[in-house]
Amino acid sequence: MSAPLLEIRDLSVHFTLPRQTPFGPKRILRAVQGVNLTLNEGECLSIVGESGCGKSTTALTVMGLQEPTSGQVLYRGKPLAGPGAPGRKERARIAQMVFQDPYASLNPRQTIGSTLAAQLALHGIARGSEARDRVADMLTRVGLQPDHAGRFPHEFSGGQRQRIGIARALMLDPQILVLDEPVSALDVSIQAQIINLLMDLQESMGLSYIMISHDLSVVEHVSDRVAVMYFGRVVEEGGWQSVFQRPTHPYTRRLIGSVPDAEAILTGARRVPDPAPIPEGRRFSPDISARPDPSDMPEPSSLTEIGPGHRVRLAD
Amino acid sequence: MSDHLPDPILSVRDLRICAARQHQILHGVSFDILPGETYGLVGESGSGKSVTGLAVLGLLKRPLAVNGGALYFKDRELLKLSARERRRLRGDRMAMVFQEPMTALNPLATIGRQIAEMFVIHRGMGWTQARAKAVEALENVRVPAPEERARAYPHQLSGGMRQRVMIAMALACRPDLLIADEPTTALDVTVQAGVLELIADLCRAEGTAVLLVSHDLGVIANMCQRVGVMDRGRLVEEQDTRALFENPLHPYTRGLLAARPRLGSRIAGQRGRLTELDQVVTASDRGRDAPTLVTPRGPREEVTA
Repeated sequence: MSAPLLEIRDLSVHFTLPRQTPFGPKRILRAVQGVNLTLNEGECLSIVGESGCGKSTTALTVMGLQEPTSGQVLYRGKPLAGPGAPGRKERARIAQMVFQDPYASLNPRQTIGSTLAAQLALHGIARGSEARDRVADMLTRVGLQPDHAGRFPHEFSGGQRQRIGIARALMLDPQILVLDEPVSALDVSIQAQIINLLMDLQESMGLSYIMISHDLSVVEHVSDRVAVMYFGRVVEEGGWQSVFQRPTHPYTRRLIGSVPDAEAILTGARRVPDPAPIPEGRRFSPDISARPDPSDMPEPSSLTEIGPGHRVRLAD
Repeated sequence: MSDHLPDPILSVRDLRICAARQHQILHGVSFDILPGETYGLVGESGSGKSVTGLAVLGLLKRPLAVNGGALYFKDRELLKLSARERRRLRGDRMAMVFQEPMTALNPLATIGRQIAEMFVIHRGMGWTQARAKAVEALENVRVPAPEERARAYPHQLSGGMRQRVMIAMALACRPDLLIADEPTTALDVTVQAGVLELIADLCRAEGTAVLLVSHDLGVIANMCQRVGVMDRGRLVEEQDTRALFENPLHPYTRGLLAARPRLGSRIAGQRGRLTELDQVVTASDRGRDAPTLVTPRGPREEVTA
């Protein structure tokens, strides 16, 4: 079998916290601890969890915006860091990012056209009228008008700005898009349009997505595979069906149980699907009844397969 | 259930709000909130749901101004009161919980002091007594170690805790009406559930009426007995919560309900494409001046959260 498109191998990211007292010990925040993930071609992998669980840090490492403390990110089997690794320009053509707040990530003083064309010039792909054609083509693809290129970010609505954010990410024809909460700043009505657009683009351009989200209903609709993170570690991982129809780790179950779903609440039919059985004599790790301290060393645990491609973290 | 409904605690009549005297933001919105009822306002951003809440409290900032209609709170006409009288009502008889607790709290004062201020201003208590009441208020909103927390500053608390502090402040004087504007939008789902339950429990215990402004239909279904749907500055539909979800009357409501990604609705082996709002509601159905579609109130149900 060929190497997966992207492989995150034993990734850890630690941050040093300031000392609490002048001579006290240095404290280490373990934001990401030994995360292993793979992204196959044409797939959408979602990372879910609440704020502070390390999902965005993991994504930033993929983008090369955060140095890992240990571990590797491999693209088609080759490491993205260290000797012989691709430079920043090459890397930009491998993976691009779509941010949560498109307004904060667009230059307010540049027209959309020049924002989009700048990367083409920087990478020596196209200039002048050819660049303009490419920009016009990309704007049409994301559902905007070619003449929008002459406008500034403030002239667009939130949904249109997110379309521009997607267009910007796609200009260099990357293989991977990292979507960081792509729809959480948008209204429900516009969310649907952007989600559909992302799914259409994935099909027509053969893209692979890593989506970071805390909105489980969106994740269920878009993902092929889902990884649930809790305090820096993956606690459950599997195909969308296994995770949503047999949620097994107590934390996954709590997440699914907290999604407010109108019909389920009104009919009283609210129910989290039954968990898959775990091997006898094993218990879940971490114990979610108490809030773990991310500066403590976690107890030894490992991801154990409980179904085809469906793994949960159990204590060793 | 009694045949006649009690007098509303808040009655909004044909409320109109404009920006800079030229742009109409709210085109005549009318609804009633009964004592002890939780009334939800849903809509997209820009539909006018938040400005409605702010107008009731009298917190509209220039260039926004009320340019028509009336607001009756119990038997008083709010728009005819002086600024001083409205200030006296605000925080005492009607209070607000904002979306972003970090910007709503004073970063330079301890939270104990900020809650105590409510008792000093509205109840004329001394600071010592007010501080003791503040600790009690924190205990009521289930903040662990309230004594200690009262001495903390807002930045030392987590988002969920800050929102609890906001609720403690808002409910300190046992108001008749609580306006909650997207109270849980900034919180994680697991924390959101706890905060909603807290608001529901406390308001039910005190018989406080709630105006809940939210774009999240799940939150609305969880909390409200009655819901108004707003679109482009108009209240297009008002129904009991269950009826709204079972039998939406306005095409816009149908569109809004259809566009939600819903947990458990993706079919195996298929891609989870969503219905877009525009596929359900046509442009001609939106932004028109038409009477609000209202169904009468059904038997009053308990808050479910």
